[in-house]
Order: sequence, then structure tokens, then C-alpha cells
Amino acid sequence: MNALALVFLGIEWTRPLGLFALALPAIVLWLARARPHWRTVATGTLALWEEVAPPISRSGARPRGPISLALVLLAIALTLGAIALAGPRPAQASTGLTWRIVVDRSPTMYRANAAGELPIAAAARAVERWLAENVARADRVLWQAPGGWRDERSEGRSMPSDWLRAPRIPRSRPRFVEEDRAGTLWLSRSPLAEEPRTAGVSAAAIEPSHGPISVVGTTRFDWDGKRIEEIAGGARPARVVATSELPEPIDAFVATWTEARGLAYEPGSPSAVGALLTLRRAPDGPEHTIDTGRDGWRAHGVVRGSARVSDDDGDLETWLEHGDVRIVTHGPGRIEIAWSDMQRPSGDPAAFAVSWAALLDRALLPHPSVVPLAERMASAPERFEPPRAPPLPEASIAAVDAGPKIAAWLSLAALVLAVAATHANARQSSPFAASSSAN
Amino acid sequence: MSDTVFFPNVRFDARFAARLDRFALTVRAMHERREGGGRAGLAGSSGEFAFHRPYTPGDDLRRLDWNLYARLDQAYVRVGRRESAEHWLVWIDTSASMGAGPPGKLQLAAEIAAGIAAVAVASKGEARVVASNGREVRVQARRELPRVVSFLESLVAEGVDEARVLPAHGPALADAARVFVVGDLRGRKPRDVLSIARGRRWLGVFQVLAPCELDPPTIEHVRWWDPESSRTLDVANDPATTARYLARLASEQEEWRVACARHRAVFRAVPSDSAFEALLTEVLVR
Repeated sequence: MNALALVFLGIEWTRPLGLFALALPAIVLWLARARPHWRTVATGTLALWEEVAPPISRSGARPRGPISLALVLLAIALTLGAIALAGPRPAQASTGLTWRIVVDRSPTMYRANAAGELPIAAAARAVERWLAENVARADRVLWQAPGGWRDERSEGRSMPSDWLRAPRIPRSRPRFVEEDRAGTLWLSRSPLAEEPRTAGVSAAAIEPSHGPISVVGTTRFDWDGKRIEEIAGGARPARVVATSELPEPIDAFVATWTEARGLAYEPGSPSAVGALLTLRRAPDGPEHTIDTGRDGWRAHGVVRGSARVSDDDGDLETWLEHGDVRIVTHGPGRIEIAWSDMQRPSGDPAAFAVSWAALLDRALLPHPSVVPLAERMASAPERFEPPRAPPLPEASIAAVDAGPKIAAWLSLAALVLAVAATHANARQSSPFAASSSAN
Repeated sequence: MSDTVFFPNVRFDARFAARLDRFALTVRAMHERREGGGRAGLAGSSGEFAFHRPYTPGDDLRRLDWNLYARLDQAYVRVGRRESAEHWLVWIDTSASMGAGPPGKLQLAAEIAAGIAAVAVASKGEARVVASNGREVRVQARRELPRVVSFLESLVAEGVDEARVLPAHGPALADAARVFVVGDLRGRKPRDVLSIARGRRWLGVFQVLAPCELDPPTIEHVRWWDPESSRTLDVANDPATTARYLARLASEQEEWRVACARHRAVFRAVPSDSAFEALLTEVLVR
């Protein structure tokens, strides 16, 4: 792989700087023409020439050097040599070769260090520099940010600039071990939970940082570098918002759950900005009367429409469905409910509470200022390890194999022509049939 | 850019001595075949009397002088002029213009001179090779031929062709039955040479020219250089100019040919890449 490789005329030039050598034959030809080329020949018949031939200086003819056969052969030899120097090979050599950058967009990647730089920016810069220097232009570079409710993807030599901003819905760290393969580079921060075997790593340095490690209600727990400090009233209660009217059993349970978690519940709130969890009704649609449940509870109710499986923030996971009607879907920070009316669930009331509490806990976003203590204490230098090259497609392997052969044949042809040029030049230097007695 | 071609020296390869021998024998054999055996000479009419010498076994009895035998009671054979030990003179031009080539004109001139000397001594004659620079060598026997070869190899095409050099060898000319003038004849008029062809003296004039002088190269630009005067002339070798040059050269050669014919001298123009054997065989075995 060579970042300088250039695809031109359907050919990949692995050393395109070699193409500058194409100027050589042009220069040689130009010099040969530009400089007067006199072949001085001794003669005893000069007087005769003086009688019959006007001198060139008088006749006005310009004494341009001739384009001899030797010169033409030399120019062709130089051209072939320059082409060989540029390392030509079929363009298929690099097509289909794909590099994958797996990006960690978890919250720690957006926590600025003492210099004010984001780890994701530092790690991305190192990756982009390596790509520029080592990856052929014909190669594809895919950027992927798994670890969320929806994988984000992009293609190009640079990481998408909007990835430098923390996602509204915090994402978890990618499961890097599942991405350990040739041609893949992990973009994260140190230290890594797993060590790659074949993938590369660009991990930003991380240093200990003081700050909140937990918020419970209005009490905040800070780590000051040595110990944990409890600050009562140090945080405002995090908000849980219901942007539309919820069925009564659900609304009542959410109120109970938020109270137990020290959260502020705002039913019927028009704005969900800053909320750690938003509950909302699914868009209206066909109405169904459905009796369904899970985890040991059942409920009879009316469903309008179907809960969505994705929204602007990514994919939503189906939590409760009946036939092809999705009744509850959820994602980080949001729960969508299709029930318009719901009777009190039957069965063990505790089963309903446990089931819904698990859903609410799962969907609840972490407090934005909170960083787990282990991450606050972590300290590791940056590291960069390039990935192994991804396997080539068969066509590319054949094309890569063809490269040295093409260069070898071109070099051989150039050599033969150069020898022929030398021979032709020698013959031209003695154009008067040198004999054995020539001295 | 400038490439000069100049070949002022003479070099004989290792096979040249054998070549000379073979040539001399060939010429002599051709004479013998032509004249029906005996020790025919190489010039002059067969009846041209030179002197008598005592008969020795093996002599052709047809050449016995019976009248003298009757008067003196001793057997003598008639020796023709051509059979006598003739003195041959080879004058060779070593001026700088003889370095034109390739091969250099002086090279062929030297080969011709060596060939003539070989034939002369093979015919029991004597050869004297005189260079235009005044140096000379004389040979009377075959064993002395290497001296001629060495002498010729020491020649260098340099200096100016002084037209007066040849007449300066007046004494050498006096007893020379045959005179060979070998050179490019540049700067020399027929009358400068033909005065040699007096009386019964045989004269051969061999004009040696370089291939590039006889057939100018077709390359676009030539800087003709006269090694004697160091003058140069830049010429665009277009076909018309070349044609004019060749016509002028042919005119000069015709002038020589006519003048030589008028003086019963032999004139030959040869390119320097030709073989001396062909020229001398044609001239000496006539």
C-alpha cells in the first residue's frame, strides 16, 4: 500500500513521483535539437566544398541537431525506464481494498484533557495522518461508530466532523474484540479493555480527572483525586418527561419509580430538552384492542398505531408487541408507547413493577456530568499501532503480482533499447564505414 | 556537440606480411601464366633488351643469344629490361589531408606502397619508398620488406603537401624505371606530376580519397575540416550541394585522367576502404 499511489489511464502508479522522469526523454530530445550539432569531418577536398556550398552562416540555415535513430531509441528507453520507475500495475490492485476505522464515541472520548483537547480528536488526527501516508487513493476507508442503538457509518479519508461533538444520546464503548481483524483500526482512548491481535489501535492519552462520579437525587458524589466527597444538594434532580398523556397504570408507576430514584417526573411537559428519559406516545394509526403482557403480567387495552423502530436518535428496540403491532419500543433516553388506553394489569402487581422498572432503568440516560470512578482515575499514554493490511481480493492479488513483472519487462525493454541506442550511436559516430585499418 | 573523425596513423595487422607475400606471388604467377613461363618482367615490352648474362641451367633456351654464342662460343641469354633489376620509386603523400577517413587515406597509401615494394623485390628489383616529408626507405630483397613495413607504420599524416618535394628527389628519379605517385593529389596539378613521365619511364598516379570524400555523408550538418590549413566550412548537406560537389570532383578527376593518358601514364582513383591488391593487380598485370 502506498498513499502516494495514483490511478491514471486505468493504471495504478505505485510510485507516481517516478513519472517526473518522463521529462528526461523530452529534455534529451530538446537538448539534442537546441544545441548545434556539428559532425566535424576531416577532408582534403575542402576547396571543392568551398566552391560549391554556401556556408550555413551565410545561407541562414540553423544548425539544429539531428533526431537520430540513436536519440529516438534513447528517448524511448528513457520513457520506458520512467514508466517502470513509476511502478505501474493494473488499477485493480487497490480496488476493493477496504480499511475500517471503528470509532469509540463513548462519553470519555469527549472529556477534554488539561490542554482542552478531546481524546476523539487526538486519536482521529493520528488515524488521518496514517491514512494519508499509507493508504492508496484507490482504497476505501470506512468509519464506523458502533456501541449505540444504531451503528453510524461514514466513508472518506477523514472522520466526519460532527463526530467530534458528543452524541446527544451517550453511546457505549464498541465491543472492540468483535472488530479484531486485518484492515481494521480501533479509534479509542487508553487503556483498552482488550488488546487487539490483528487490528490496529489509535488510542488517545487519558489522564486522571476530578469530578462527579455519581448523582443520587440532589446529592452529588465527587472524586477530588484522593477521596470521594458527598455534596448534598450538589445536583438538581434529573428530569423524566412524558411528552404526551400516558395510560394511567404506566403514568402511576413512572411517578413511583422517579420518586424512588430521586428524579423529577414531569408528565405532560412540552419540552424534553435535558431530560434523562422521555416517554411519548407512538404516532397515531389503526386502532386495535389488545390483551398482552410480559414478565408475568398482562393488560387489556386499546392500541393506536404501532411504536416506531427508529427515530432521529437511532434505532429503537421492541420491548412489547402483539402480532405485528409494536406496543412498546425503547432506546437510550426514550420510550415510545402505543397504548392509548390500558386497563390495570392482571397478575402479580410486583411483576408489573419489576418489569417496567427494568425498562425504565435501561432507558434512563446517565447523568451528563457523571463519569465512573474507574475512568476518572485512569491514566495511560497515547498509542498508535497500524493495522495489518486487509486481505486483497483475488483480482487485486493478481494485479499486485503483475506489478513487478510489468516493471521488469519495461526495464528489460529499456535496457535493450539503451544498448541499441548505444550501438546505433557508435555506428553513427563512424558513418563512413570504418575498416580494420581505421585508427 | 562536435565529433571529429581523423585517422592520421598507419597500422598493419599481424596478417599483413602474409598478405604481402601472397599478393607478390599472385602477381608473379599471373605474369608467368600470361607470358608463357620464364622470368618475365612486370613492365615494358617483352622485346625490350637490357643486357646479356651468362647462361645458367634452367634458363629458357628460347632466350639464348645464338649469335653471341657463335661469336664468343659462350652461352648468353638476353635479359629484357623488365627482367633486369629495375628500380621502382614510390612517392607517398603524408600530408595531413591524408588523415581523412575512415579508413585513413594514408593507411591505403601505405598498403599500396608496401604492395609495390613486395612486387618489386619479388621481381629481383629494387624499390624505394619516399614520403612527402622527405623520409625514405630502400629495399632490394624480400627479407628487407619488414623494414618497409616499419617505415610505413612510422608515417603520420601531418603537415602540408609541398608540391616541390617530389622533384627534389631528382637523383632517385633518374634511375627509376617505374614511378608511383600515391596521394590524394589535393593542391597538386597534373603538370606537377606528369613531368616525371619522361622517356621510357613508366608512371602510375594513384589518387586515394576517403569514402566521405567520394560519397559525402547524408547527415544534416557537416563541418568540413581541412587538417592542413585548419580551415573549416559548415555545410548543410542538401542533395543539390552534394551533387555540385561530386560533379566538381569528377571534373577534377577527369582532368587528371586525360592528362595522364596524354603522357601514357596510368591514373587510378580509389577509395581508402578498398583493397590494395585489387588496384595493383589491375595496374601491374596488364
